[in-house]
Amino acid sequence: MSHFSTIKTQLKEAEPLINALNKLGYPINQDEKFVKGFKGKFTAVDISMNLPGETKVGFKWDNNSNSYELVTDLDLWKFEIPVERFISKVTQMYAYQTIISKTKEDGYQIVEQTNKNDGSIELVLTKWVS
Amino acid sequence: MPQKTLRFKIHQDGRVEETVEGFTGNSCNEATKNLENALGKVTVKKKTSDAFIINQNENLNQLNNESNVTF
Repeated sequence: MSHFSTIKTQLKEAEPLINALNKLGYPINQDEKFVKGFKGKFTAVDISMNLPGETKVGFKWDNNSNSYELVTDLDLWKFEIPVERFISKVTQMYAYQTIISKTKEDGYQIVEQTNKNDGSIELVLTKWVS
Repeated sequence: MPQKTLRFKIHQDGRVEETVEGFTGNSCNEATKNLENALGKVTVKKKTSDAFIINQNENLNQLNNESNVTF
């Protein structure tokens, strides 16, 4: 029996999220756990970053969705890509990091990794079981 | 010695398509339960048996035609 699933990725764990941000080259600010917005209003977050262009971004755990959510002041967004694209990039890399680490724990090895023209990443992993 | 294969397509928006092959009975569900829990919400799940034998060769050809990229 085999199965085919489609999964809507949510940012559920801190470790692959931090790994994803590092892989994408977004520097995490370990000292500050807040995002400063318009008129100097502060919002507490769990992970904070300073993106180029003085754009402050953070991720805050949300109990309703059971996942990390983006915190930023959209009026102050000056980063080179739109915020929606930024979230997509982080989510895609989060999914990649989660798959790599969880399958490694289960003894799988990567046999193929391809970056497709449509921007997707394809991975094939295998394990031999005696 | 059976081979277990996991195939993933991680879309640009973070959506993941997962194909699990080579498991007997319902063990395939157990195999990826932890991963699916860590990733998010499973929106579609289909059980398959023979459907992938045809796709396998297609996928391999496709993969061979494209260059490998490492991060």
